[in-house]
Amino acid sequence: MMQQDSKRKRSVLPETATLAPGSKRRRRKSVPSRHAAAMLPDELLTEVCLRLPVKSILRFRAACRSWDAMLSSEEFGQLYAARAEEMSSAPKLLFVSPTANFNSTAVYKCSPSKPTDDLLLTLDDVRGNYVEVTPAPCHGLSLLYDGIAPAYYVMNATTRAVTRLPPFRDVAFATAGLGCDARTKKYKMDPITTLCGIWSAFGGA
Amino acid sequence: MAAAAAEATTDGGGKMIILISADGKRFEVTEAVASQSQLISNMIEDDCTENGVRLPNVDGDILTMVVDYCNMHAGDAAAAGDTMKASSTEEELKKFDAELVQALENPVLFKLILAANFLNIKSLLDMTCQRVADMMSGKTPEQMRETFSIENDFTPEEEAAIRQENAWAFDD
Repeated sequence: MMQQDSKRKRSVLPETATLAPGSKRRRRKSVPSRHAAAMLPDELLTEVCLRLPVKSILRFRAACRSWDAMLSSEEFGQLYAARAEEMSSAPKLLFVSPTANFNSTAVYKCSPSKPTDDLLLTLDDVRGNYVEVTPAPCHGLSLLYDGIAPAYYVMNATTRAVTRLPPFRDVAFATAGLGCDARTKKYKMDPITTLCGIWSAFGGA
Repeated sequence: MAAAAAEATTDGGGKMIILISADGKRFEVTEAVASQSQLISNMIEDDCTENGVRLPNVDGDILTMVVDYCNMHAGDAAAAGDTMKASSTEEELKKFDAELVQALENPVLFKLILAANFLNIKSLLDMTCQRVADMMSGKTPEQMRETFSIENDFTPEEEAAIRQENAWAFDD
């Protein structure tokens, strides 16, 4: 019914994008590296990278400037987050726990599909039984409140980056939330009465 | 031949159409099989497949794999309406998919991705991209540079800073 042929007559790819057998080690010096890498066009390289685990993405940022730019771009981040949302295996729950000696706090994520709990990070000098987390992340960022210090932390559970916010007054009696201004892409950490901090997207994280 | 094929019908799949690869190989498939490609599905709707569909972007050996894939998965659409009609079980399909991409080296796999993208076959694109991602995921930045012929254009300080920023990702 169908005719098959195993001999390749000619390549469908443009010359620069063709990988002849044994040419893997060849370095292209003057071509911008993103295009030297373009055995796949950028849009399809993005499609592939969207399917990588976060750990690999963070690691491949160290490959070259253009990969770093692509993988840390806001566009890629949004696509990745949208995809994670679609996949039911995405971790759904964050929780904090005191560590054995009580002078630091561990943050874990857990997912309904994976029985193992994954330690994300630990905060030193923070008492775990006095830490609260915002119930839902805002664009992947969660707000942590340490009732002892008192201090607020902004955490990105995906990249495991955490930043302590600058201190401010009257924190003990305030209730705080984290919001994002979609227009300016500025994040606001808002204890109900006064606006206390404006935190740019990843500037501090 | 094309005219005769266009007349031909089968009880399940309807009309036959001819796909022609870049190197002139001809593949005769049912409309049901071919229309898993959104591109060809649109052409069928627009009634412009009578003289065969030329695919100047796709080599014969790659199109062979694409046609095999579409033949195997043609039951999917039918199965949605009528489970008895499903030509393959889900396990059989998974096994077939895994075997299709498992042995492929990157250059061929990349061509298959390009073809799936051009023909707009979402499930094949998804599967082939996932396969490349799976092969990449455990690699180091050095291995990625090797695989993709990337030149490291960071200064040592910049590279160290990036590694420091997400040090946990570099633990083995």
